[in-house]
Amino acid sequence: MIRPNTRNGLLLALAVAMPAAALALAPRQAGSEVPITATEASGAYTVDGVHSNAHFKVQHLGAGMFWGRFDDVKGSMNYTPGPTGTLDFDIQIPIAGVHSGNDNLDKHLLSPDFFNATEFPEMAFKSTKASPAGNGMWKVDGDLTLLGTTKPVSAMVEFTGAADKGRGMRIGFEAAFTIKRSEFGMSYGVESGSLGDKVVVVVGLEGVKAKAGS
Amino acid sequence: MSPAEAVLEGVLLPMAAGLLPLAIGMRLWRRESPRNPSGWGLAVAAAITFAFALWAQEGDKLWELRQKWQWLWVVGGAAAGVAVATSLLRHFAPRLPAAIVGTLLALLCGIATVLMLRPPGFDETADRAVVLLVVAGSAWCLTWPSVRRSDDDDPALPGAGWADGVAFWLAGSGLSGVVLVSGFAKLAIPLGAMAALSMAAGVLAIRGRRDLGFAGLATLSTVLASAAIVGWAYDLVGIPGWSFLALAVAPVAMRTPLPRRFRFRSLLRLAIVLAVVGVASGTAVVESGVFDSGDGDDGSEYDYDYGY
Amino acid sequence: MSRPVLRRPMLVALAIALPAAALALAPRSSAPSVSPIPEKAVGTYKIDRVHSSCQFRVEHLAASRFWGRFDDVLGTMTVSPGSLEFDVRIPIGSVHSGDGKLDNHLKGPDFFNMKEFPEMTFKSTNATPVEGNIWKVEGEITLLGVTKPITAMVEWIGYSEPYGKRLIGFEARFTVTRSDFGMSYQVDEGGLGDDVEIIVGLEGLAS
Repeated sequence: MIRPNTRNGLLLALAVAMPAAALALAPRQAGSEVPITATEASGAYTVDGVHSNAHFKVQHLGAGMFWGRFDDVKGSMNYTPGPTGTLDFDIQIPIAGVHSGNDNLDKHLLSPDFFNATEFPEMAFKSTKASPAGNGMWKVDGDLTLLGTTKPVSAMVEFTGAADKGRGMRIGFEAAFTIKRSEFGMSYGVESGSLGDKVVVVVGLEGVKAKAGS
Repeated sequence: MSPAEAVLEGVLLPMAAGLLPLAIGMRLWRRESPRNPSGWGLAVAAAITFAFALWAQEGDKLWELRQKWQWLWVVGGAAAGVAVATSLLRHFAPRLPAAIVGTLLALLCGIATVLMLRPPGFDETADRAVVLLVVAGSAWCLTWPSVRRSDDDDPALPGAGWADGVAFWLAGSGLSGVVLVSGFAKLAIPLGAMAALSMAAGVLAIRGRRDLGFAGLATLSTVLASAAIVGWAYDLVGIPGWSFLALAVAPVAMRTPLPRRFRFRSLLRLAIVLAVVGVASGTAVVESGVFDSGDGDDGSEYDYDYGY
Repeated sequence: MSRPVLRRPMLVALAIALPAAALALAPRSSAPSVSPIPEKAVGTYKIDRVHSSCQFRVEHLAASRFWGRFDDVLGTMTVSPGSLEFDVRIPIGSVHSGDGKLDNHLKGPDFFNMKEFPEMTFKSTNATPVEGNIWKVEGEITLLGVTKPITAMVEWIGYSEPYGKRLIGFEARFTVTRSDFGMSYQVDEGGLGDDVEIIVGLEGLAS
């Protein structure tokens, strides 16, 4: 017969060890591996301002490419996937969010030499048409409003993914397009050749599925 | 996985890993507490839980020890080693005065920390002296009554192990929160695991009114204090240093001498710990600016919450 | 004295040739040429901190690509006939994500651990032209105190001589697997990608 103390001890040890072992051996899940269905991915999304931003690059003095950035991006998008899917964007970028890495350069960019932020505090993009181009790419046409001038632009937009990793259903796009800034009235440095006219713009967008009813 | 799942895995799994050595060390199958337990089980459990939790965050790169804060698991192991060695010393040389054993234990914990942990900004001798003082001092205050007690032939006095467990849970959770808003999630989650283990030890100590033991307390205290110093060294958001220090030594309040006529002395002492932890964490969280609205507060709903 | 019958054709020829020669020899406007790097560009250049930057892009929450940036790029670039050398340092403190709290998190031990490793560096070891303006540059990158070999595709953007200065521009692209350097935060959980694409815009001024 096992002595009471030993028996109790064994039972206690088992009681402690079993849950511990169970937890330790439990298969660890590396996030939701279940693929996102089309229904889950479709819908209206709000742009996540912290994780979205816009970059631009322009040739400087005929030498290097100068990269600048807009930290703030706001807006919304609607998306349905598939070959007959739809996509539309309504994006605003506050000019005050411009960031060049140098305070004085920032101030110059905000001045009427460039963006004239006092008169035109935002630039905006509203899509008018979008067609899937295969491989996750979309050709999106829309109107870009910059310095108060609205002109059509055509962007290649890449769908970078849709997933819910525990922080809400999220979707990502990367849009790239090129503009001639002089067409919008920003011609500083074009004639002297000190700054390129062509500006490549890349916008990284992360959207969170809008709550139902919003 | 969701943040909740990540925390669960990062906290509960390491805690579970420590439960078996804890139960064995406490000899839980006996209803009565062993006389003046050394708490070697808790010392080993604390070292295992902390190392496991850090490994869960860092992966195998942790063992390469390329970044200075990664030495924390070594400090935990060294403290446990010192504590277990001291308990063996106490067992085989019971005539050694408690004063010597207790001071030796505290000093060795402090020296081990200073030798192994060199966080950035703590290179001056004065800084290292502060580390030694904080670690050794808190270990000494916490363990002194337990070390002293076995000098008598009286049966073990009723232990307040449960209260010590709760105190370390409070301090550990507070420090975990402060370290998180400082932007150091990889330390915050292991601290949560330590807090959970302390609470588990406290709960298990209810059986037979056990003491947590000087070895266990010294290890817990060394891990808490060295983690607080690391949090202080790496902070970039402006949390005042005293917040970290207060959290490091908060459990010492459990040794506040109170006249015997006070009832519920443990509860009173816990109230002091709670007050210290509350003020220190509260100030730290406010100072960190985590409640300030984000930079792009032009109506954006999204603010960076120190996630990713 | 030339004979009258030859004078007019000669004058016409001169009238055409002279302006043509003048145009041909006139200094070009600084429009970039797309031929291999000209010989006059040979030399050592100090990287212009104001006009150079390092962008990085990483997958976020398995959905979007998050762009961040280091505002400061320091160091030197050397152009020699048939070869390029880069010695680049990037102070971690210049990281810019657009959100102050995210910046602090990036500088902390969860990511770049700025207090222990204030800079990341790239030193090239070998450069071979691939085609057109593109070069394959091999070198070593040091990040979080760990040094590993890396290969970058570097595009020569342009060379110009405005106002008596000599400027040159390059754009380097490469991908880094950050966990190789010990930066594994959120890799297993799928919150952030392991591969980080890096685009360095470099402009240098000849010293």
